[in-house]
Amino acid sequence: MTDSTVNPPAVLIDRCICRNRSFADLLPEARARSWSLADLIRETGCGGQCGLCRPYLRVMLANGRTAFTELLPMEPA
Amino acid sequence: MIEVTRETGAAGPPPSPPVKAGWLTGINRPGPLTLLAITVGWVGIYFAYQESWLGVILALLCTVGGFWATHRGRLLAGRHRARLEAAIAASVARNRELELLRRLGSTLLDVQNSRELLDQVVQLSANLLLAEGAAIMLVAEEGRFLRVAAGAGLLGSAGGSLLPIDKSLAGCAVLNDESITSDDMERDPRNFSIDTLPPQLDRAVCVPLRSSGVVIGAACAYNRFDGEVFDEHDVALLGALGEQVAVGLDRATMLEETRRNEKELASKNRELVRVTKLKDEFLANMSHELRTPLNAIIGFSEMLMMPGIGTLDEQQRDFLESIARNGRHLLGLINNILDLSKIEAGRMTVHLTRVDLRESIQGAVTDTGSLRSAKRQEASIDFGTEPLLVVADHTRVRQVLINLLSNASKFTPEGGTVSLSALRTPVPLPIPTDRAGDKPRLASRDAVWVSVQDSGIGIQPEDMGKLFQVFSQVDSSSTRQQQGSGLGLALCKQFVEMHGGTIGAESIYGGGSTFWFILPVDGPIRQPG
Repeated sequence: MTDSTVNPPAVLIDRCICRNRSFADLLPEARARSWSLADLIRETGCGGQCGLCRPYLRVMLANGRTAFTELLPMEPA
Repeated sequence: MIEVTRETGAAGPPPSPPVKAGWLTGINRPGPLTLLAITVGWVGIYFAYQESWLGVILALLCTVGGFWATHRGRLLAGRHRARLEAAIAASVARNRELELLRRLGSTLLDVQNSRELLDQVVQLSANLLLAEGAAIMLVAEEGRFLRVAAGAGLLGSAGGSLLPIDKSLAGCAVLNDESITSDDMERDPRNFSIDTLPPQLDRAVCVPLRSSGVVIGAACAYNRFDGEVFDEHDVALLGALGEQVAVGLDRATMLEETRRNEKELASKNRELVRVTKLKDEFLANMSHELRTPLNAIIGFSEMLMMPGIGTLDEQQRDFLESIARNGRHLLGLINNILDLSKIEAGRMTVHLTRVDLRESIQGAVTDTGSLRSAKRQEASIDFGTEPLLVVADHTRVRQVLINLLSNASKFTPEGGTVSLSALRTPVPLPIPTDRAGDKPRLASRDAVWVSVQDSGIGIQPEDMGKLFQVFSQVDSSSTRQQQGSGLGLALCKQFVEMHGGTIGAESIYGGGSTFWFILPVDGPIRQPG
């Protein structure tokens, strides 16, 4: 058996790396409880460790995207 | 004369029955003298009737005889009475002694600590020997002294004082292991006057106390209330008491020791519970604290390898892969340790769903593909045709499969094969017991049997028993060929057993191994209650 991945994107950012939780996993919970970004960081810890996923989480909460193939500019801590 | 015996009967104490005066007791049978006096009297009356002097003489004789007989009768009765009184007094004393010894017996059984036991016993021995003072002394200070363990009467305040073992009567009894009496302690060469004992002690009896053949001290009584000397009877009494005291002391000491041990155990138990709780808390915290930075290490090294981030040369890519690989290995170890500690703490739960083992097996084979491709190993899967649905925890089943597959790859040389087969079949499986410690029964249940066979080095028969033990590695030498924490198979065993299944292995040394596990189709049997 061989592992095959078809045309991997150049960049795929779809998770909070520190907490190892995917955006797809976080979104329904955030929606169900109407979390703001601060709520989400407080409740799950995602975005609160290294902070690199914070801009992606902000977009996710705004328009529901859970996978990013482009890099967003880092937010100041 | 009859009155006499009745009187003595009335003099006895309530417990002793009155002495009966019957026809056959010698005291009320008319003696020959009385009969003679009566005969002479009648003859005298006859002669007096005949107006003969002889009658007067006989009457005088009869009177003298009567007086003498009465006097002698009184004398005999007095002696008899004295004998009876002595016998009654002895029986009263005996009764008292028996009563005291009986109380001693119940004291020895009731009392829970040796302090109280000694205090009560020493009081009893003073009462028993009608003595002004009594003491129980135990050997102390490596046999050089006797310590007054308890005192009563004159020695009531002597408790705790030390007597040199070679300069005291009690010490003499201990050293020679024999009972001794002294009628004048002041002049007794075996005794030296000691300040710690009251000066009015005059007469003494000391008996050694023996515990399992060793003299451990002495029981002593001083000065009889009636001023008499202590006799053999007193020695025997005190000796009898001493024997029982030694037994009682042993018992009390043992009880105290048991209680002390119990207390110690209880405190150790509390400590253990505390430590276990600490460990659990520590692990719960660590699971979070350890995983977060590891996630970052693994996640970011993987991200760095994404082409969109930037270009890497061969060397940089190798280094990054090494970081990611080792990070994943460490994460796996940490997860295993945390899982095991969760199981040990009884907090591991299985989330049962309907799981298709075909999918799980396929997924696990795909996930471990990189391991095999690195060693150019072949994998074969034999599913059969039947559906392989079981009620199980998907994550745990996957963990077991991945563990067995990666083990198989690890121990199979380059170019070897790993074959996996699964089959639905009825199997005897253990049924949970109602009570802990009962032998589990076996019952035939529908199950899926999964085996992973490798063409590796195999396992020596003597090592088979160690396979599923925590932290055990068949080759635990520092130069061993294969890595591993020794946790994987132990975890597999726990997971499979949580599903009500069994796990095992067969191997021919040098000819490869087969690891198998069986999962019941309808999941674990819940214990009632």
